[in-house]
Amino acid sequence: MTADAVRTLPQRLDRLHVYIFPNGSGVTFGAMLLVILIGAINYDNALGYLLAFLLFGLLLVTMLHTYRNLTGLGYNGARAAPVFVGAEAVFECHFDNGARLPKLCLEVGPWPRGMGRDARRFNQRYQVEVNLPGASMASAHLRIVTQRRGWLTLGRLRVQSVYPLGILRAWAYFDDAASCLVYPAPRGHLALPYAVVTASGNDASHGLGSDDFAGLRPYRAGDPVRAIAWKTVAQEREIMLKRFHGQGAARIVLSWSATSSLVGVEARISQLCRWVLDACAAGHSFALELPGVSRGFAQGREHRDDCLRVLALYDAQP
Amino acid sequence: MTRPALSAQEVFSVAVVLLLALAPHVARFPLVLDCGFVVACCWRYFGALGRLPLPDREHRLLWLAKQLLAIAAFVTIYIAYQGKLGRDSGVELLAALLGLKLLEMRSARDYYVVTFLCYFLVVTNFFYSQTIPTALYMLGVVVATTTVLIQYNTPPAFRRTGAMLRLSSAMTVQALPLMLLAFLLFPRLPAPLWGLPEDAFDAVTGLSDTMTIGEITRLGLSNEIAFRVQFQGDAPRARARYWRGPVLWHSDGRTWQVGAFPDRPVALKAQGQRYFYTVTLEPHRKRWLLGLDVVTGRDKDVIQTADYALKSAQAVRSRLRYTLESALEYRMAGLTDAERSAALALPAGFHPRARAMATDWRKRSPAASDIIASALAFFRTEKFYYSLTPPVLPGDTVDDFLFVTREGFCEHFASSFVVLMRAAGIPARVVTGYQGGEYNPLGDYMVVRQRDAHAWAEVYVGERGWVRVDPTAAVAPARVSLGFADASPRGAPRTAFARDGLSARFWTQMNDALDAVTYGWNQWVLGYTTQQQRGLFDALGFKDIDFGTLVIVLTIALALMTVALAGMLWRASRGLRDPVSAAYGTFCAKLARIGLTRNASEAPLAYAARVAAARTDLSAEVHAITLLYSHLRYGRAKLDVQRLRRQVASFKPAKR
Repeated sequence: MTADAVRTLPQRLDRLHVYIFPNGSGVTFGAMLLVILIGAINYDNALGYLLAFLLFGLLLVTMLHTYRNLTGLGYNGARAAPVFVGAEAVFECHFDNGARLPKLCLEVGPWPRGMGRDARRFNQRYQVEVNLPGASMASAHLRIVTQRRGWLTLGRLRVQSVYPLGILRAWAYFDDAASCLVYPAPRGHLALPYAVVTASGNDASHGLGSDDFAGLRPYRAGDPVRAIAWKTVAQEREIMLKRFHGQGAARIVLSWSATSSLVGVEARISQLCRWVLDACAAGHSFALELPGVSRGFAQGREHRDDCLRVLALYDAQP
Repeated sequence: MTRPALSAQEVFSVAVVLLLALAPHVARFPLVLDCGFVVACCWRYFGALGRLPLPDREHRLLWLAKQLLAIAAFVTIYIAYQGKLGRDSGVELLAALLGLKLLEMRSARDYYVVTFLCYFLVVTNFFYSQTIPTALYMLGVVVATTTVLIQYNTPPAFRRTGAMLRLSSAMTVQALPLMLLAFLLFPRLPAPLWGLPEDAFDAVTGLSDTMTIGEITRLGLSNEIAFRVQFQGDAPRARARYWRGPVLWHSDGRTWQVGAFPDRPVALKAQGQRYFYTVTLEPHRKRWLLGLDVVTGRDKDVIQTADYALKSAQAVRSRLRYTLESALEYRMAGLTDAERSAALALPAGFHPRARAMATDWRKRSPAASDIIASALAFFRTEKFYYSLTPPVLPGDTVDDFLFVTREGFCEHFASSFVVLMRAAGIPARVVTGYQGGEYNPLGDYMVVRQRDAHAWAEVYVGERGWVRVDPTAAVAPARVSLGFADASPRGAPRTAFARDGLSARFWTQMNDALDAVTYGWNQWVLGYTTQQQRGLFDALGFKDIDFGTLVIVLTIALALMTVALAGMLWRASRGLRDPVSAAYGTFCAKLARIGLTRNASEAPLAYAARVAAARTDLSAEVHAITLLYSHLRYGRAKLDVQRLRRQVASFKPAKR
């Protein structure tokens, strides 16, 4: 497995990619074993010898069992719904166990590359336990606190287990490109720029909302999918859009320039994010205009999510 | 991921295993320690349930009390053993500290340490007993301890006692062949690596100044080494190797004691070959030294008593080496009046039947040699048994042995013989010591073990002086010529309550079987030493194997066995793949090898179409296999899986 290659899914752990080593208690166990052996030698105690060798045999057998607890584990990828910066991104990682025997106490955690020594601490912080009875599937919910907007890529997952005796630790890695979209944090105190009406805003006076049906109009790119009149689509006529009269709905342009009073790209993005949420909540039709990228007037959740995505991924050129 | 606090179930399990491991010690420990340990277990358990406060940071006073208790336990044990850390004090200290550790056990790390110490407690029991029942019980404790570890590592929702016990037993069983290999092949180092605590073998100290009937029998079960001997030149034959120890003169009817005669110049005329040798004596905390019968030359600091026993100035507390010269042909003459009266004394009111019989012999023929011959003939012709497990003699030890049980160890024979001799007017005494010894070719020395402990008689016969008579040899000649281990199972033990008929025969057979098992255990497990190890390799055709080779052989054998076990485990844990999928998988793998890998999302028929398009020459075969697979997989018709397998097997796509 090369460092950057993300393998196709599903992935199944074969015997070559499971690593094993004694953990802290394993070292203690080994030390105790040595003391018993030395005692047996010194006292020429036959049963002491037998016990030391039995425990040594147990150590080797445990190696096989711990190893077996991981091999054959299947990983079927992860999903994560978008979240705002500061919230926890929840990666739902799907595992399966095709064997008859259970795979217990699997500790699943992210193993970020390029973090060096911090990777271990990061891993321990976000590790969760998964248990898979024989022939079963289960998911691990990795909750990772987000710090930056944009894509949060899971990258590499580490699965480890000390089952059954806790003296040996087996671990393995899964590589996955699964990502979580992190929206900017909605912040800022500027009021929603209601008064702004753009040149294309001929519907502004009507104040369209989603309350009362007000007829159909042809579909335009950027219109919310939810408002499509599917009946007309089914009749294979032109794709039409249902229109409603809404109370208090307005057409608003959320533009980059309107946030010029704020300092820093992130503050402005956060303000825009705040506005997008507020505008959507109020049922307004709104447009988003950023340098180099924009979204036309529309309303509803899909439009909101689309705008949030633009804000999340917006890369301001200096 | 941090673990939650220890649950009551987890505390309960480890407490139970601790108690199981300590159970055999109960009688050996002082009562306060037994009770204290049980109280600690209960306290910790109810603490885990939340019913009792535990001595932790929130309960300062309890914490302080616990610390004080620890100090008290330490001081008590220190005073009781006068500051000597030996086997008994060590085990008691360990138990006391474990009980206290239990109380403060909080983290996963504590839990592991306490559980591992359960394994360690097992070995402390082996310092006291190495019998088969002990071994089996302790195997059970090991399985239980392993179960505790498994439970701790199993999520609570998956904890089923039966399944966990099964896994633990299975793992132990899988570890057994590895254990056996290591036991057979691990190179035996010369023990001890360093000095042993003084009470290391308290239960099997060795010979003492007194002999109570039943004492040497106890030694007979011990494989501990008594001393080693290195000869300069020849060593005497096995049947002549009588190692003289304390000589016993006085009897109170049950117990024999050494004589207290002033040390006087020894009148000894030795003849024949002399043997020169160095004895390395294991510490036994007594003053007795051992020497080949009878010592004619010795180191300055070895004292020889009037009865030719050897003594050291102080009790032997560490291994002691001394050099001696011995002769096997000698005349020990000269008897003072005090010695004569002591050698004829019998406790008043004891052994009436033995006395009567001896008086009878004397009346018939007063010559000493005739009386001795009568006594030996009596032992030989009457049904006497040489046994490791003689019945207890609560009454008159000599009369009961001679006329009722007739089953005994060397001490029974020797003491009875001496009583008979004295009753017949012949001065006699009991000599204790060891008989035999096994030669260790590796170190070119002889090892004499506690089980070689022996007792015989000496009678004073006119001109010849003290003459050795070994009545045990009359009953079990093998004991003297072959040594203890080879002789022990021969004398079929008999019990008082099985006298006749079928039950008697059954009982005898049972006893024989049990004795044979014990013999095998002693021989192959407890007595598995360097010599046996070499013998094993000789039998396998590897002569003169050395330490390094042994380590390499051991490593390879362990690796092979582990791989074999791994193969077994993989086989058992293989996935639930059905034969149809397996055959189709092989088919896909074969195509992948020629560069036509099936995509994860590709349906079998689509895949077949793609392959057929790329390789028209394979089209027919690929379609046939895919069709068969589809029918087996999704069709209703009952088709033969074998057909698919055969077709896949004969499918050999060539690269182009």
